Amino acid sequence: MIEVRELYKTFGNKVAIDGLSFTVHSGEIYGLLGPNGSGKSTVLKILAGILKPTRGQVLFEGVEAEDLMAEDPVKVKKIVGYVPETPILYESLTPGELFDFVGKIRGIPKDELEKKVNYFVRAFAIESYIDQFIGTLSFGTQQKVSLITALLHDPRLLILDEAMNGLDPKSARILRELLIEFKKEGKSIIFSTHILALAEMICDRIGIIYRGKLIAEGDMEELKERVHEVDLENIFLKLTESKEEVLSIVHALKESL
Amino acid sequence: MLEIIRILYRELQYQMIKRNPLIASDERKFKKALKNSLNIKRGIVPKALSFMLFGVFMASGIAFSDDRLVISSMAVSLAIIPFVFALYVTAVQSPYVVSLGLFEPLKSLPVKIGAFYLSELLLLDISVSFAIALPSIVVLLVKYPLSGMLFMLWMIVGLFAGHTIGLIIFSLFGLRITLRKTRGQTIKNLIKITGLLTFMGMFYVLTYLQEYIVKHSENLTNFFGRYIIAYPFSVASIFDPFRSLIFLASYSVVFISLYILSINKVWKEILDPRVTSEKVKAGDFKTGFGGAIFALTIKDLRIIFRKTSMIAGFLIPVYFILPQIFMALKNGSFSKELTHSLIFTTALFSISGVDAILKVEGKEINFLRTLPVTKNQFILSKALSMSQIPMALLIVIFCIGTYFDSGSVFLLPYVFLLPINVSLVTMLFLFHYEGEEIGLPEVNFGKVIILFIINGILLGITGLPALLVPTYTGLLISYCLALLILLFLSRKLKSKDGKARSNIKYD
Repeated sequence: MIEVRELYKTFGNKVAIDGLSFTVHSGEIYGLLGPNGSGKSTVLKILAGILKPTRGQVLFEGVEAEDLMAEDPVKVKKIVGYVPETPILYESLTPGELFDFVGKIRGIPKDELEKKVNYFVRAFAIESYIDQFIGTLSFGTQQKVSLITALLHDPRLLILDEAMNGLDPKSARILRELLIEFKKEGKSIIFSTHILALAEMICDRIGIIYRGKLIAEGDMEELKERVHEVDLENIFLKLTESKEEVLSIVHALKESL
Repeated sequence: MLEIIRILYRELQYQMIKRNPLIASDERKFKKALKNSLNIKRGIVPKALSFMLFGVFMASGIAFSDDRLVISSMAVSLAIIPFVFALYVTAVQSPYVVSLGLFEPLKSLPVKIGAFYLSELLLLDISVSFAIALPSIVVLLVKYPLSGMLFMLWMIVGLFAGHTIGLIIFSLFGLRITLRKTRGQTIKNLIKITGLLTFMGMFYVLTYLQEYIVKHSENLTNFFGRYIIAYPFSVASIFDPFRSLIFLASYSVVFISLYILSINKVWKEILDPRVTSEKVKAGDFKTGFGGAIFALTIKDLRIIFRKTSMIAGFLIPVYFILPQIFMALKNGSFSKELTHSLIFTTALFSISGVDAILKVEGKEINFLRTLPVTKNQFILSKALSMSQIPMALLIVIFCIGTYFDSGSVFLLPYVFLLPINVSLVTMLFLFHYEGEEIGLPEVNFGKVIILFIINGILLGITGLPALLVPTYTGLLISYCLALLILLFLSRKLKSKDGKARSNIKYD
């Protein structure tokens, strides 16, 4: 379980996260939705231990991240698997070398690492790219490599920032099934996406973030009830005050054409 | 054009500041650094001033001497600095700048030779090294106007030559994309590195060529015999305007042609990198041996060897020791004392590799930050990576030395102890910041000078017993001292880790 309490993050004068609080339980997929620039990636980076919050608390299974890190400075990173929206990997290494590198850094036993890498490599169909330099791979294949590096150590918390970006339908489906499997194993998954149908399909609860604030939270039924809309797209547009705006822009476009 | 350079400069500085943990974690410092660095004048003038201050000391020698031979020798020594600086910055910085994706937006624009922007961008950084020669130029202009003018032109040509050679190294070794890792890859990389070394040693080849011409042609002896035509020795001709001008003109023609050729090639390859591929059968994934620090070090070395032009950063010591090796080989007297001195010089100048080792991490530092890598592990791995190439160079020197004088065999422990000590001191100094976050500290001229002083003192302490007591006992004491320093540094690293753990704060 992960708990975020009154989280703030500012960049200069710009408030990116404004007092955000939410909880993701064990065995739950939590969808974090929001328009571009709403602060989703910033929250996820803070949870992954890449960014420091300006203020607030992050609790992993009831223990403050700060206390965990006082015990071991990289403890949070040991229990988290993070996939950024754009894969940032060592382009001069091959996926095989990168998996080997990550496995050693994470202290995964040799046999286990080999078994896991071979399993994921086959699952995402990248066997033929294992000895090819990452810089020469397509965006989608790089994204698969990035995903595998985040899954190797069997993380208790999986943070996926637009992880479906660039994935082919087969791989997207495999990832979806994997996430459901992880959920059954009792892992916590935080998932940010712009594919609202996907969020609707796999998320147990959804949090909608707008201008750094959590403006709505709940399962699909609760959200539908709250704004009297039938699907997530309309719920999202209504909550982010975009529905009227979208309609007027579409109207203006039609007129100008 | 100036606007594009300004934008590229700002972007480069921004990316560098963002990756510097000393600045990025402190909002006030970050804002201040951005304010200073994003402005070309504010960014370059302080650097140029620090170089100029250093140059004043050198100029004082020229100011107080009337002996033209002494002044010429000083001019030659000074001439190597802008040349090496330009070569180093171009060869090491180019792959870094390209890897940051600075030229990606330009690719879709109607720009004919965008590599000019890369060249101009690097020349902004390189030009500050000219400031080191400026005080000497002024002194010479006052004392001997014509020679001063020639010296200034030589400095410009030297800087331009270094930049051009750096571009050639980058275009030959830094841009090719190989699709797959193959078994022959390591051999190919070794051939590339040998090629790079040969390329960098071409000035010495030129010297030999000249000697050959002088020996075999009486007509040319009169003209060529007086000065060594290879840069920087050719700078000694500043008191012989006719010959100096002819040398200058020849150098200019050669390097302008090479520049135009290389700049076209660089841009062509940035736009459309050469891709080579070999068919290999994909097998099951197999992991190797080693732990986290080993994995970090191997990763660094793999990247450095694959981006061969970055190795140029490690070859600076080669430039300083090559003349001595050539002279010793020529005279057939490669004594134990010379091997001793070459080992210490190489170890000290191995500091020059620090920038390349840190630049292995471009934007990928963000990936590393998602992994459980402690600052302690990061520092140690960087020190190990940094020491490997100097160690290999020292093994070569040791082998040559032992071949000529078997007594040099007793110098073997230095080969392994000195590079690791220098690397550890360097990394501990650069990563001396609070907190556990890993990042890329800035390596500027001032810090490099401090590193030379600290490491110089430590190497001095290590070598002093062997110098004072020139027996095996003295040597043994030296090794004990080197070991003690290594132990002290290792303890310092451990205590740093402990301190960092207790100092973690979120705000």
